[in-house]
Amino acid sequence: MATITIDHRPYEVDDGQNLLSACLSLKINLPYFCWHPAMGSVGACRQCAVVHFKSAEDTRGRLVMACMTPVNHGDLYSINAPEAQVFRAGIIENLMTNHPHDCPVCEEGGECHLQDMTLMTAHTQRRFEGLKRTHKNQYLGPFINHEMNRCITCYRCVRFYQDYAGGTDLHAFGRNHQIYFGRQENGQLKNGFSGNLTEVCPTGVFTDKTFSRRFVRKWDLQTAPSVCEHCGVGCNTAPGARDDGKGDPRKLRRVVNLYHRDINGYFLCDRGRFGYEYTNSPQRLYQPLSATSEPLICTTANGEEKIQQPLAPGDAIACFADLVDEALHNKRRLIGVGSPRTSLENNFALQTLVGRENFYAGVSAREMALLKLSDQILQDPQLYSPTTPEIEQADAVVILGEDISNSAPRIALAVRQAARQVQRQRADALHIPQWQDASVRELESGSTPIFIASVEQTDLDDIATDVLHTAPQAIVEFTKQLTAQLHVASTPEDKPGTLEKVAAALRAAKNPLIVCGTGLLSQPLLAAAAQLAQTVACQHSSKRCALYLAFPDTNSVGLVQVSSATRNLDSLSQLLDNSDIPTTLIALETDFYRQMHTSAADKLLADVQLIHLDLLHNATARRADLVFPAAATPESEGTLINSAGLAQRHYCVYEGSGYIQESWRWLANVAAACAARAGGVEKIPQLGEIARWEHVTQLSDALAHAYPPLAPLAELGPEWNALLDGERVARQPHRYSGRTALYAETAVAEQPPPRDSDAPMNFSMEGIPFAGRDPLQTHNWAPGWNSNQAVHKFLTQVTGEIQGGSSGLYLQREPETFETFETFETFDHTASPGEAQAESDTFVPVPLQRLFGSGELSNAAEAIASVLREPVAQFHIDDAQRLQLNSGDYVRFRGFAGKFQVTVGDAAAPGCIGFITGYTSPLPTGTLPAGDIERVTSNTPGGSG
Amino acid sequence: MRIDTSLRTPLTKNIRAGTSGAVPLDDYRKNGGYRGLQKALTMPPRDISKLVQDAGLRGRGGAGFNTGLKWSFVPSQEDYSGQRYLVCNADEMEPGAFKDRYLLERDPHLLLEGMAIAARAIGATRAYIFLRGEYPLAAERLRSAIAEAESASLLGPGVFGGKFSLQVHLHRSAGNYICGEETALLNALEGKRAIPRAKPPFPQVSGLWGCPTVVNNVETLCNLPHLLMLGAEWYRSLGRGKNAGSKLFGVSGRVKTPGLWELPMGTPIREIVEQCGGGMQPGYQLRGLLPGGGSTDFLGPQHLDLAMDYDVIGKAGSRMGTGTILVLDDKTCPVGLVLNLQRFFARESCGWCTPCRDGLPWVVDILERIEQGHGKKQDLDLLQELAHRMGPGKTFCALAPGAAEPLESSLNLFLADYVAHIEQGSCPYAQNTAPLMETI
Amino acid sequence: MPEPPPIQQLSADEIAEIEHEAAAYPTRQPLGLEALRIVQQYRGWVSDGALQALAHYLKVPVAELDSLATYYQLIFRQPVGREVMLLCNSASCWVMGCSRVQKHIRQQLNIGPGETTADGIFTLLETPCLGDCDKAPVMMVGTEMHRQLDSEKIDALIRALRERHHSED
Ligand SMILES: Cc1cc2nc3c(=O)[nH]c(=O)nc-3n(C[C@H](O)[C@H](O)[C@H](O)COP(=O)(O)O)c2cc1C
Ligand code: SF4
Ligand code: FES
Repeated sequence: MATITIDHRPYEVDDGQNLLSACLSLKINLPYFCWHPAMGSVGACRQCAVVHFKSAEDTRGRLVMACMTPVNHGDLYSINAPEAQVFRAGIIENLMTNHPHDCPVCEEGGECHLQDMTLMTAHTQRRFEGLKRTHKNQYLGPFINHEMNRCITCYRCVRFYQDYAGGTDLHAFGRNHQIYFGRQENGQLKNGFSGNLTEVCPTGVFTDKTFSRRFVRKWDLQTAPSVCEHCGVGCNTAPGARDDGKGDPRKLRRVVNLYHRDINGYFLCDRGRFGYEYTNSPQRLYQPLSATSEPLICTTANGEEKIQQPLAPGDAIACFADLVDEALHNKRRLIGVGSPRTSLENNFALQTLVGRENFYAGVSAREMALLKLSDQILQDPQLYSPTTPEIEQADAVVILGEDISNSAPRIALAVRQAARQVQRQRADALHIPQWQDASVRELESGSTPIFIASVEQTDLDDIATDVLHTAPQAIVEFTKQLTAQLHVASTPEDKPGTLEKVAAALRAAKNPLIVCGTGLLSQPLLAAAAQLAQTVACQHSSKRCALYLAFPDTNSVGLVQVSSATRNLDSLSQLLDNSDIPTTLIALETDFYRQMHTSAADKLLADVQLIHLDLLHNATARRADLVFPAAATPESEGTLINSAGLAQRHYCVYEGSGYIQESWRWLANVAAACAARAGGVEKIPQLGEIARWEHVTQLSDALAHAYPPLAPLAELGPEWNALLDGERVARQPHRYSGRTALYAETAVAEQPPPRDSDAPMNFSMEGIPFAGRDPLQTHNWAPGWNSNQAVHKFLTQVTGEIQGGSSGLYLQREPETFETFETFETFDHTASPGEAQAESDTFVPVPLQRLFGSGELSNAAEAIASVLREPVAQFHIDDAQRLQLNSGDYVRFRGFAGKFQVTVGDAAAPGCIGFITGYTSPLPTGTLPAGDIERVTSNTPGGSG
Repeated sequence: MRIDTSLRTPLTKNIRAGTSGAVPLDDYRKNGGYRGLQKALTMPPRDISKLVQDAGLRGRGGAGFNTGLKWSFVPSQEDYSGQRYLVCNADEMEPGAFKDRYLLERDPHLLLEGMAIAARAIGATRAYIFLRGEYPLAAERLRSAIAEAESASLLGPGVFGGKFSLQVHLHRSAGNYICGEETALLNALEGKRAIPRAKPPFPQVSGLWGCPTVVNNVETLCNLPHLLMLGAEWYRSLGRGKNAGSKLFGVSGRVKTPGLWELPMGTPIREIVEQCGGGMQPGYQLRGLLPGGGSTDFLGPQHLDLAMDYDVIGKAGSRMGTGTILVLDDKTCPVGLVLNLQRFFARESCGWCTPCRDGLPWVVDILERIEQGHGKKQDLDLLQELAHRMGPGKTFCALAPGAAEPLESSLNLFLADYVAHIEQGSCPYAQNTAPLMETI
Repeated sequence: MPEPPPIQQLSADEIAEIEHEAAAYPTRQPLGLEALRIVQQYRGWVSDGALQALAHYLKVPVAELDSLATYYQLIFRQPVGREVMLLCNSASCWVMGCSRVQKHIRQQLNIGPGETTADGIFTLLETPCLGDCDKAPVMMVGTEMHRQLDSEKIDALIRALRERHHSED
């Protein structure tokens, strides 16, 4: 700690940091542009100038840039000194000489850091009389809009995109006042974190195109804290919604980052940011549907698909209740299928309705086994799932099979920062402070040992010290050998091979990190990775090792906690095969056609009655007898458990359109209907509990009770009726506009806002706008800070925790030390990757992950859908040659639906055929004989294809 | 061979008047060449630095920092055992500076020997000559000099058959004035955009590829061979005033015989302009002068008797800079000259920091209006303010403060001219000076 | 305008020269800038195709190379004439009348800074101080310096260069 004086007042600050962070941590206003909390200082914009006095006698002082000035005990500074104030206003004046002053038509207006700083420095009058320089804008793809004339040349965009996120297609061009930030030519920005440009840019150069399509000002957005539903990482988001008052059901307008120190910090990936558009998709369900037998003149339904018609919600509930009644009278069996992409509460409600023994997880046996194994691995107290800041500090990283850039993108971004660990150590040795970003990055140093074994090229290969592109089986083999190598006393060798090098790096590391996941669908791989991590832990002084396991879905870990390993889609198929009891399948947010092969799904659904609760009118919904429109994550409150085992609550941002409501509410409605028929809840004790549920927190409390690992749920988040300083929290900011005018077409009187019965929040401006220390805080606003930079006002310190502590509570897994994971009992599975050895005439199908393509919901987002490729089959170049296949050919596989475009890469694993997961069906099981590959059309070079 | 301590022109002594080629290696060696290096190889590196520091050799790149002292910040062998680099700054692009070209083209071995001595002092085994792209003749001559020296074991592995080795590489730059700024130069050498780097860390600690690096000007390095041979005392005695050594001084502008001469440090301006330069051309009077290139403050006729040394010129409110004087005559518009300079700096700004990137074009805009007769009285205050905004410490590097120097000083020295433009609504020098230049 | 030279491939000479430079540096990073200079030496300017070929050869993103190319003023990203005239427009030359020289060139060739004559022979560029201030005004054409310029010298120079190129054609 150091004591410094700013404008005659003493302050205690951490020494070594720069004065700008110190001021912002102290909540003192000081304008800046080029500095960024996550990216440090470069001293380019000169906006943060203050006066530094050498001693108490020094009355003139010297202008210094706060962001470039390390604070030392006894330092004397002035922010208010006239010289500093005049200079700072002058800098803005300079920056504004070329700015178009187009705030009224600029999407950034109202949350613009440049606007804020202009006000803060009190620059009000234009004195520059010359011509403004102008630039041409570029087409940067469907996500990001480009308006270069607004640029103030702070360099934050390229510092984020290149330096921080490793992007290579956004650069600074030209020099002097003609500097241009853009691509070499028009085209989509390729980096998967490009969306952050919209938040990193302090003005409106890079804005969110998807938002622009249905734009409103930030102050007209209703927000609540949410959790990203597009992968297992669990980044915190602040979705913004607004009803247009004209009956357009598409209410969600955008998603922006919500700071969580331990997960996403300041950044989201593009799937998380742009995936939200699925909520507005034309496929979205807004009302209950029922299958009808009435003949229609024409229909688009095909195959087994049903012809469906809208049904009043009460009728739909009654129909559902009829079936439950039959089941209560043992005339029918109810089977529930739970989902890893929805909240624990929704799953729990279904489980309670059908009974635990009838609750099946909506994943394949193979995936279930993987999830269970992963969960079990993480019970080992020697292994822990690291936080993002911990990952960033790793000094040896081994990534095994999991393509985290596509399956857990935010974690990949953290690993990218770890790559600079050696450089940072060198900076320490040279006494260069870590925040002095450019100076640290200039240091030529060895690289942090990062080893990547994968089935294809990955986006992290550029930071890897060694890569191995090979078949899953070989990755498992390598992992085992690595473990064995760790047991070998290090023998100094002249030319160590990769194995020795990686082993030595792990042995020497202070913060070793192993990364694996379920992405390759390989249990042997998970087991081997766990074994490796255990071995590293044993040899480490702390007896612990960080192991990040990427789970596929937003609530995979949650689903595992409430599911039995043996009740999954495969065992369900078997069950239904062997019984003729009339069965109703209640599918909770599960698309069977995505989890199973078409034929298997068809078979499963052939003889059952299907009730489907879901968001989109997907293949399963089209087969259902009864469909209920379910609330999406931002439309509901619930609990999700991320890959690290952190239970987090997402809150309802806005009420879904039409008859959308939470799946658990539909189920509760049904139970209540049954209870009413039965003459009271007490008459049907098995359903009584559900029928009484009114608040989601009741479900979480019940879950906490029912499942020991979920005990923390009882402590998570405020009760629905809690109050903050006697009030509820407002979702709409204090400047929200048009609430009386919005519905004036339909009613003159102001409509009462819906009442939230799950969280102490209002769907209006009433209440506390800034919850501050509470997890309900989403409005990043403070006086003078309309932009997202306001976040520092709500943190204990810059890059620190949210003032009230990071939200979320860790799962209480039973600690259990495992001798070895090799013996873990797994589901009987055939030839999962990592086991089958490809023979010369057979191929192992391997799953490939894609940021855009592997996400079920995000694939239905308009902008993302526009960039999706056709399904591909990826071959190693040698295999392709042998099979005489060229890139661009189309192939089919016997016994496996669909047509695939061939891609050929030398970084693809030999003996494997890669399929992008998530397009439609799951991966083919078993091996694929070469004879089963059938070329549909060819694209020989020069030919027309 | 006896060494002549009466030598007064160590920088140019090998260069024969009337010739135009480079001094051949044979001649160079016959004249005592590479003896300084030989001597340096017998000395502990630290003693070389000490000697240079004691001699009072100050950087000739413009800032005038004591060269030996600069070297002493390089970590010692005990503290750091990795690679170190020496870089010769031959990016001469300062408006009105024309001294390094002469040394590079005429006596490349003097530079190479100087570099070897400096490299030896700081423990560097790799050196780069950062040469601006518009000096093809210098490039050619340096390249053959390097080859000559290497084949004579004066450079390369095992210099003089001993343990010391030095690989010298000629880097031809692709332009931009900012590349002369030593940290921007390092980025340019690394193949990046030549944006200056933050200091600290200073290049001596973390320079090229993060290794200790010393950047020295051509002329600075050319001082070393004789300094080594003849010693600090001799070197100090070369200067007339407090500053040591001899220096290349030049005059350009409307003098009778513009040119470049090696003179004692501390030679009065008048001597340089009137004796060497032959005084003003007939019909022209001296209005002012830039003592050391375009980024130094104007001095007036009243300063003619000042000695050209760092301290004296500094005290008078300017800088000696490169020591090449540009004379402003009474028929040339001072506002036009300042505009010319500001256009240069605006164009050459790297674009990194705000006061420079956005301030200079603004200054240009105002000056253009004044020059065209559309100026306003308030413009002069605004120019003052903008110049102040680009002052030392306010920008990221010294380019903008350098640009502010002629601007600010012209507002003092030539205020009447500015006012005349504004009041008259046109340029009073229009009939003498050509119209405003076209720019891209 | 001169036709852009055939592109897409680096010549063996270009590659050899690039690789020769490689020996001078501990990393390959500096090669981008060196390669741009070398390619321009052979082709007169750096076309999109040449840039792509370089990026491909050096295995660096094309945007990174273009970022360098657009930063350094001696790298030309637009076609230039066969004779690039670097007319010094810095302080000493200005005092000594380079604006008159520029005007004269405009009269004779009808080009201003940044422009190329219709016959593709001359391109006029402005350049920072050429370091020959005592012989101002000066101009560099190719590798030749032309000093103490006046109208006659310029006329003679233009005539000579024109003749040379016309006889070559
Ligand atoms: C914009 C700018 C341009 C410069 N150009 C040159 C140059 O062309 N040659 C040079 O030697 N120094 C130049 N310098 C000074 C160098 O930064 C550095 O101080 C010098 O090379 C150090 O060498 P010395 O100590 O031998 O003088 C320039 C400085 C600035 C700020
Ligand atoms: S003062 Fe700033 S913008 Fe100007 S050259 Fe230096 S760093 Fe670049
Ligand atoms: S924030 Fe300090 S200089 Fe930009």
